[in-house]
Amino acid sequence: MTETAIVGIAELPQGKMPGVTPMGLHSGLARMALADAGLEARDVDAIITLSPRSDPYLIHATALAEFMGIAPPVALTVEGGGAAPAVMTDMARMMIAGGRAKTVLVVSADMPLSVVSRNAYVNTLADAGPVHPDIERPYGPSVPSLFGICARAYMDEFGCTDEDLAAAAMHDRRHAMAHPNAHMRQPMTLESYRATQMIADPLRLLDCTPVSDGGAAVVVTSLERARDLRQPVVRVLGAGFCAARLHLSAAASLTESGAGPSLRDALAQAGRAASDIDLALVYDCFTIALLMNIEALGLAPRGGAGAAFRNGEFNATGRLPLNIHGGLLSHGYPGRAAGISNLVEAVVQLRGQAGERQLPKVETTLTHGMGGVFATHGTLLLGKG
Amino acid sequence: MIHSAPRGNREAAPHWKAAREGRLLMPYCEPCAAWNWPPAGACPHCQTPLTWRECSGAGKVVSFSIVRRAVQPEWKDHAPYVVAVIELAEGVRMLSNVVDCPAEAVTMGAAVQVAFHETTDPELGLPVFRLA
Ligand SMILES: [Zn+2]
Repeated sequence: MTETAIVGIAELPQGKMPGVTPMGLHSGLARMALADAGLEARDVDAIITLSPRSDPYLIHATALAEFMGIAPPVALTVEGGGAAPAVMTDMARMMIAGGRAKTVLVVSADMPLSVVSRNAYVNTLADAGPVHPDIERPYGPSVPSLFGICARAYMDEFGCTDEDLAAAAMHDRRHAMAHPNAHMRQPMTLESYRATQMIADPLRLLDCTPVSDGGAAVVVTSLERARDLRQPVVRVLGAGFCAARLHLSAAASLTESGAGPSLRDALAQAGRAASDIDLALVYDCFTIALLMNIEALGLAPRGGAGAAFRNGEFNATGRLPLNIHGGLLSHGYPGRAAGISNLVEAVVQLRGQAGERQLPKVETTLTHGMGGVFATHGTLLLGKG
Repeated sequence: MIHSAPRGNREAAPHWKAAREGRLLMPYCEPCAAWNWPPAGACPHCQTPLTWRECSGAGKVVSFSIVRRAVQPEWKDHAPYVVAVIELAEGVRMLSNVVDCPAEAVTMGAAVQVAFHETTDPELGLPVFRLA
């Protein structure tokens, strides 16, 4: 198969973006990523986007191409929930490998904070998000309450407490404070965590992500061509996906995230072992999601992720640096685009461009995304040149 | 409370119609001897049309959350309320509410018994649960 590489990236500070339109954000990120790669908009022969909730179009990717004044033969608008970053990158690989395209522009952005009201956004999630419209919605479950059900089952099964949840939130916050693009950068202590209101017991406000304007753009091309471009080469080594169900009502277990097979398949495709991973960026729409996803990916024993955070195992200097960009919990949650920042941070670290955050040794990274309540998983492995 | 009606003419319609009559019906596949929830019309394993079996209505709380900040408009005035995964005595699990008790009274593993609430559709009811 033709090998592929990520040659351009763009991310803006996540948070409120007053005065920006969703299309303006998409095209701005696209042009920044192309400039980062040293390519022109007219080089793009395939464009992949998500349909942002803040700007619904029938065929969003084509609307963006029109807005940018380009006419790529392929324009795809995909739906993949939080697994979308891996889906979009893998689609780009397949199109390049199959000869359909040479330069694929992936743009994933949304503005749930400035354009849709925060409450309207949360309501959409509860009506048509991971909540089953027939057999769950009439009972009034909020999305946090579905994750709260998992959190209580997890705490009960493993004897964990709110200190385990807080350890995940505090880890993300500590690292977000050192990241210029992170949305939430005020310090967090166990006391300040516990002082926040319950949203859906046992989940407090700081167990939930903020809602942010933001997202990112990524340019994918062949590895051969990447060697002639201006940035250090970052290869796409492998991708893996899995989905056992959609709704929590169909879950066999409330305490297993099920992410494991996506990493297994990505490792097999990449020809790497789990021990090769130097940096992990794991999807964390809630603290409980981070704990359960880490365990399902085999990065900590079952019931042990909270302790691993407290022991510093996932710090930049720990045994496996993890979510050192602050995760969705503190880097930001840009609606439909949530998770694309995991991919950007991996590329920045593999390039050696993370400045004061730069890890000394990064050869292979894991980026994981999740859709629904532990429903779908997409894992990407990227590697240095 | 009167729940807002589920969408009629969907796979779970027999479940909601029975609830209006005070019975708890759940979908069952005879060849697989297995419950199927969410209802899918036919068994996802063997494609046999599902039959509807009456359950005793006894169950237990597998896990739950207390919604402090409701999102659906009709729930705004009812927080805090309990959303729970209930395991029926027959072994099938469903999402529902635990009602008629303070939210803090609900515990893991608590025994519950079905009750039935009306919805805004006079033909459709909803099974909910009370602490037994
Ligand atoms: Zn069957």
